[in-house]
Amino acid sequence: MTEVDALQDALAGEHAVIWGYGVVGAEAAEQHLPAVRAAEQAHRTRRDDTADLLRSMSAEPIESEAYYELPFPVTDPALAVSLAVHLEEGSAAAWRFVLGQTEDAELRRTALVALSESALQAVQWRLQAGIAPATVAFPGQ
Amino acid sequence: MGTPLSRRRVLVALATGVGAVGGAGLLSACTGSPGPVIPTATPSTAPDPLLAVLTEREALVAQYDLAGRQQPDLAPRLLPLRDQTEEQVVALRLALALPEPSSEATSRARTSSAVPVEPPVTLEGLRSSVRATATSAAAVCETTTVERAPFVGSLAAAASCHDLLLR
Repeated sequence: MTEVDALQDALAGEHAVIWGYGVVGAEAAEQHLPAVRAAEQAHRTRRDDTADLLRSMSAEPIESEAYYELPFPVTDPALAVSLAVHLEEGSAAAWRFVLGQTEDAELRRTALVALSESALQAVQWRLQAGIAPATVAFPGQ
Repeated sequence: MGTPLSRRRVLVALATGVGAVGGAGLLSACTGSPGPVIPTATPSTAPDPLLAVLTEREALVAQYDLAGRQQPDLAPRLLPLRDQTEEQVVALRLALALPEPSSEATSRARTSSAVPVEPPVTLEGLRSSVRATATSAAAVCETTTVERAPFVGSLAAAASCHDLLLR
């Protein structure tokens, strides 16, 4: 796998996470909506940055799918937060994977920032969900 | 890397930690849950940069222990972070192909750190140490091998998360 392939996978993940946050927002409790919007916006920014990065590497960024399968039915606010945790954990895993596909220090910095931001957002959602501990020893693992 | 997941399945893959993400799934198949994938050390004359990451986290575990003794009311908050840091120490020793410390040595270390004058450990002091571990792991992550980069990056991210919970 090349670093472009890994970045395309990470971009595919960002598309899926953004789609998933739409579901989270539809079921989330009112008090969580600002956090949902902020998290979704962060992933939109990361998606755009990743697409730009791919173009700079002469690659055509992959497009989003129109629909994604959910890992479990999301039918109430608690499940919405659970989905948000899963989305961030998956995003962290995708960016962690990029780290092992390149020796370029700048790309590694980019991937580490993304991994860390998703790991931090997962902590915030675990706190909201009352999951203890809210941290994991190896984010993205 | 195996056959890519269909993009429609990505959301499921993200949620279950497999997929492109697939690469991570393949790698994690090499180890038992919940331990990390740990590429072991290669012989070299230069000091392994991972040694400094290990030393910092070993010192951090001792600092957590000290804080727990000095401020038992903080123990419930600190214990999960302390235990996760210890998990990281175990993984780092494995990555460096170092033997596990004997229980006698561990016991001696605990005893000696309990006497006689213990410097006070504050939450701010712990945060400062945790932030330092994040910084040094991030620096190593930029230059280490492709085999180690995901592991070390994960350590850096974990430290950032611990920092958040110590605020």
